[in-house]
Amino acid sequence: MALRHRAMSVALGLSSVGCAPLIDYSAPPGFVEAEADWQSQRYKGKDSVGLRVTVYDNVDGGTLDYWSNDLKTKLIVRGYALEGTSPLRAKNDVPGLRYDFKLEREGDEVMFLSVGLFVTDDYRYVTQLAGLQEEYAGLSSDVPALFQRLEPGGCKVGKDSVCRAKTNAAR
Amino acid sequence: MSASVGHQTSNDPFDRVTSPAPRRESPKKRLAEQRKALAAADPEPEVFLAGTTAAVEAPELTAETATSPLPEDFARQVVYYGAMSLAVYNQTKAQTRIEAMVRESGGYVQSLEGELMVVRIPAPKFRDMAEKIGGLGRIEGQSFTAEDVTEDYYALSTRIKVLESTQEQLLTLLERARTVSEALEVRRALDEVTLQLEAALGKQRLLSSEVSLSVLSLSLKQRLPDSDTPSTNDPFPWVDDISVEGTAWR
Repeated sequence: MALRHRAMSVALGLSSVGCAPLIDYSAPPGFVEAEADWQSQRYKGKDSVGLRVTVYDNVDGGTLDYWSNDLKTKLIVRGYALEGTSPLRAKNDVPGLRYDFKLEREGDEVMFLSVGLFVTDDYRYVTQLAGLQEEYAGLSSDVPALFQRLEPGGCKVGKDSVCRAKTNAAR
Repeated sequence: MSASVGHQTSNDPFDRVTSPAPRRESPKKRLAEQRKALAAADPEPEVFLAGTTAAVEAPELTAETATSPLPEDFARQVVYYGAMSLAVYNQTKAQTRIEAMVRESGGYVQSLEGELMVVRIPAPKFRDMAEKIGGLGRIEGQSFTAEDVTEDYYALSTRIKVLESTQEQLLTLLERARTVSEALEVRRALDEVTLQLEAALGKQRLLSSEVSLSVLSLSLKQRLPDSDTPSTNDPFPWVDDISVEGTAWR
């Protein structure tokens, strides 16, 4: 809820320049909101399936290429096996990337983790969908829709100088 | 080894000292047999160094060995201790898996209480097993130490040799005792030496066990959905939030 409130307040504050840095992400069909704070919202789906949306500040030089590589490398180091990559495009046309991972650890059930990443000048948005691997088959086709219902706030990285100038002026 | 050699069949000192029964074994012979049985039940310990095994070679007992420096050919005795803190996705399954792995390695579970588990692992397999167990979850902390107990072991071995030699000499004296008072005096000294020998052998067995079976203490925490993943000195630890544990539900 807090994220939504903050998103709305910031959106209202910047609505005059047309750039909303954060946006709402409501529960998709089949999911219920379980946790929410200023930076993250978490939803519960069927059985072990969970969905999480997290927002981080971006830093100077932080591009989609940079952060996607950072994300991919660190998750692989943590034992995740990369199963596939595909492009995403958010509701407001911000480009993103989707990574599908599988986690197999001795003594544990096999789990899946799909990660969507969108980067704007001001923020990084991460959407995650995870659960038991056996539950992934019925979900894989829904992943793009779950991730692309997000509308990332902030200007597109390095491409929207008009938007950035207006955002800076509004600050 | 019994602490009351020669006292089992009679409490009459005259019966043994002045008129020994013709069919009774001599104390020395009995002692030798008991030592033989003990050696069969508790063979010489083995030490493990860099994955190899070598039998402990006790040096010849001389007057100097009790105080002489460690011989170069005396096999090194090292006790390995380890402690690991693991965050596992399924605590019960991880414990079961660890128990099976430890048993397969020839070790055993020494204790299991809640999330704490102490396992004993054959020293040559300690490193590999620690790595395998670490793979069952996320390692949140670990420490390993090696304690060189060669000098302690050598001192103990030497002390045992000296005590055994003294015990044999006292048994000889006991057989040669001509009076009751002589026999009683030797008997008291023999009992004292036997007790010291028992204590030293007990310490040696304990030390041998610690050398041959390394101790690994484990703390198995359930990985909660919001568990963080340490990122060392990464300036952007955001990926710590991206995980199965932080998203999926149990």
